[in-house]
Amino acid sequence: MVVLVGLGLLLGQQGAQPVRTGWLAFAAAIVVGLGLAQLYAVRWNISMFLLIVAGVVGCLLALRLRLPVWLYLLLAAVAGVLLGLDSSPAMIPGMKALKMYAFMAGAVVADTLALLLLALLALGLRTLLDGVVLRVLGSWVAASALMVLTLMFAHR
Amino acid sequence: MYLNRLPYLSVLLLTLSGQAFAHGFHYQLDVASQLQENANGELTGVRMNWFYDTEVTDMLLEGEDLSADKRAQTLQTIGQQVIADLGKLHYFTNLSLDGKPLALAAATDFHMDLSPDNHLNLNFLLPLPTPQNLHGKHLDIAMADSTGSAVLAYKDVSRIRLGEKLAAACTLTLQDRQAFADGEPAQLVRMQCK
Repeated sequence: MVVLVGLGLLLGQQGAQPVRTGWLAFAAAIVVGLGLAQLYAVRWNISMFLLIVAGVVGCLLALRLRLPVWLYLLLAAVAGVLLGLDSSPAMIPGMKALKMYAFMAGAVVADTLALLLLALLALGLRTLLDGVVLRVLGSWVAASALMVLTLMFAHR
Repeated sequence: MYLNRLPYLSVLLLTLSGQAFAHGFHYQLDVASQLQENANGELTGVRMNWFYDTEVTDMLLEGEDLSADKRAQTLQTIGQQVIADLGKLHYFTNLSLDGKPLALAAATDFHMDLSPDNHLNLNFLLPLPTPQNLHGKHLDIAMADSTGSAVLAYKDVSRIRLGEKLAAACTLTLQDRQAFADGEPAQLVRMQCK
């Protein structure tokens, strides 16, 4: 969830056009991720990569830089693919294909709506207190991601 | 004006998106087994009895017709689909005799039932293509879902029953593994025969 919050706020911080293009890239990427998850069972730890992306997004949000188009599109695409891979429904023998597709559609709708709403929220907040509110939220996102990552490695 | 309501709406939607994060979803299969033997005391197969948890039971039964006149047919149809899918996943079961993997034939004689406390119960027989003499050998049973979703476990060693001749000649041990990755067995069963 932290990557959704970070990415949504980052897109909103960048302005209306990045929200549109970034959201579309994310929506397409999450579908790709879900599709990839059906082709092969993912063995690697996706959560770790999601947290790394969240950390990067949080830092960029806190720094309040003007980002090139390719960078936020890349971040949206990577986050989307990873979330899609991470949101694939459990393979339960006997489960009808229709139920699996409904589950995946629910995941796409929930994730993309959440991202859009967060981006719109950030769009409204981007000039509030000279953008400090979003920068503070960005630092929280980065700190949360780094703390969880640290705990992950500490438990190994 | 609308901006003030956005945070509440965003919290609501993020809550709704909870089910999107399905990776790491695990469900429990409570297992009981009976090792089948022939008149010579050779192992001929394993009868499995799996009890699903209520969450997966609800997922499998969602939208199905369980009215009194259709219930049996519906459950049997689900059982058929489960067995067909399990066939592609080696029935989550690996047997090895003195460390060498034993082949399993396709599951037969399956039956799906629903307990009054809402647990699906799948019962099926996994026959061996050829009966195996276990004299002086050890048989290992490891059950795991290679997709990493199901965690199969016996509550205790009494959930594994042996035929009369095997019970007289073999001893069972059940080892719980403290740590196991997705797709690996949670327990190891060893049957050592004299």
